[in-house]
Amino acid sequence: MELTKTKEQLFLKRVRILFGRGIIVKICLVIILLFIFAAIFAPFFTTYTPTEQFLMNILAGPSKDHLLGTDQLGRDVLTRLLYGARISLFISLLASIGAATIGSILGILAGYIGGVIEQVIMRLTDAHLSIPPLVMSMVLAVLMGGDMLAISVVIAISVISTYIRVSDSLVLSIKENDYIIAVEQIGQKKWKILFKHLLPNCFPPLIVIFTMNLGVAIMIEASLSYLGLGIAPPTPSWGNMVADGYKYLIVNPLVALLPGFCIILIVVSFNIVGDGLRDALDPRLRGKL
Amino acid sequence: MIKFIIKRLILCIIVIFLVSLFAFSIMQILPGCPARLSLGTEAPQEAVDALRIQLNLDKPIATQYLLWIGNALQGDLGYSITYNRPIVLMLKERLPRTLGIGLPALLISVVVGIAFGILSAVKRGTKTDQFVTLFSTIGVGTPEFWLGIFGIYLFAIKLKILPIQGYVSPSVDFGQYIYRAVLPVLSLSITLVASIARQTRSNMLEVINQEYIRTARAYGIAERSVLLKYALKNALIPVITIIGLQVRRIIGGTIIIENVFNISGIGSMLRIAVMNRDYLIIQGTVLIISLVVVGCNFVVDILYGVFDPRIRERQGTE
Repeated sequence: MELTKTKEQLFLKRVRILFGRGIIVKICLVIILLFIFAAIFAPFFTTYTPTEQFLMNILAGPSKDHLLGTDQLGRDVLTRLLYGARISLFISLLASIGAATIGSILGILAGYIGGVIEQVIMRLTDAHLSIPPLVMSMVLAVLMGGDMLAISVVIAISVISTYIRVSDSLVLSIKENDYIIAVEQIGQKKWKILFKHLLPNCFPPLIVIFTMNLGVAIMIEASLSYLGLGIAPPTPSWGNMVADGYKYLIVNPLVALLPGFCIILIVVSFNIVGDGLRDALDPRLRGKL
Repeated sequence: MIKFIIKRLILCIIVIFLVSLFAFSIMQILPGCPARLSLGTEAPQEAVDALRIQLNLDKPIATQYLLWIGNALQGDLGYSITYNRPIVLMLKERLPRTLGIGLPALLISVVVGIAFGILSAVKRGTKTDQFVTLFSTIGVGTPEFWLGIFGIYLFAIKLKILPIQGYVSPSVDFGQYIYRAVLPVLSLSITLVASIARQTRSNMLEVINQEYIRTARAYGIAERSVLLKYALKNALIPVITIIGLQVRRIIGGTIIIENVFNISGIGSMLRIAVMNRDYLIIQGTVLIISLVVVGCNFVVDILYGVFDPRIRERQGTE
């Protein structure tokens, strides 16, 4: 009882640090929540569909009917931005969860078991790291095709090495601690040590990396779609909206520039919340992550 | 030290071998027969079969790999299906353009990034620090392609002082090169400056709080000399690693920027190859890019060992 109470107190203290860390973290958290809200309830915010064309009204500026104007096919920009948020957030969440789960398991196993298994996993990770994430995802995107699930898998594979690297080095340092050596001495089973002691101690840094990686995943998805290798038109994605709007920069710059503002806003918010989480969970990680 | 270098070298060779396996397997997983893709659906079966034999596609996979890597080691990456030209020749033609954008961007981001980082750490809490922090927070989160397009909108369309796109080699006309490279290089640098500044700042702050800095201050050494002579030296060591990591980012960024500004470098070639499933170009480019990354990391590791003997000791005795 006593223990759960202190745990709860510790949790509350961390939450307080996270939210007490100035107004900026709070604003960013609100921005993220707003984007999630807008993505989920996109159909309620607009009367148009993202592919509905108003050919009499192409590349129009903001008006009462189209709050943010229309693109080269007369599609409502605000509607496309809202539906684009769905794509970006869904892909980045799915890709990050996939990469974080599999990557951390591989890294923790590598670090804990050591020996040949660690050597194999880590050398593969080194090889993986020597191919830039964008190049990796460009190549994989051809192999997998352009739907949301495929792109998520592509991005997950492209960023997985970060999680492997970090969790491996985390375990290497944690397992040197006296308490791990102590439970080993009293004959605790290996898998129990793994789940009860190593995993919980790896969590704080991994959550921070996860949060920051959400932004990275959004950037990769946008870049892929910009290059025409990600989400295929007419499905709106912030990246392909910029690519489409680029050609009409002179007539209606909003079409190309607005999706970029959304990307910056959400990625910066993820990074700042990640920073805040890092300080709340473990201030010692400052400067390391 | 020699032991350390040899150890690193062996690791590099293993990594390159693994990457070559990956690059080679691209063709195996890629849907469709490469010979058929190259000749088109109309071509007679005999011609496809002939090309299959010419490309060694009829041989066992292990033989195919050995032939490919053997040729690659001798500087032959095969023929491009779409361009029908030797890939090595195409890489040679395009590399100067890619470097013409990538190298100045790397140089600018290292110099400006480190300067920004130091400035904001030394002037912690002041307006300068706030500006740098704001700049780097936003800079890290801005996609390069959007920066490029925003730059075009602002400087080419609105202010009409820079061109929309294109590239001129510095050896042809240096003035034109500068005029046309300003926007691509800047769009590429901003993200990098931001992340280098961020890292340098936190390293510098960590070092400033170390005991030996306090001791130096306690001895009454001038603040300027404490910062430049004692703090900076130690803060810069981890920055070397960061610069090594930036090589990956700068390659990714160059691919994007080349496509935004219509520069026919290696990045735009890779994009076209990926779209046309020109597998030999994809294989060759992936191999070359990872060679560059591995090479840079090797140099960084060695430099790290030179500047920080503790690393050398630890790695050498392992």
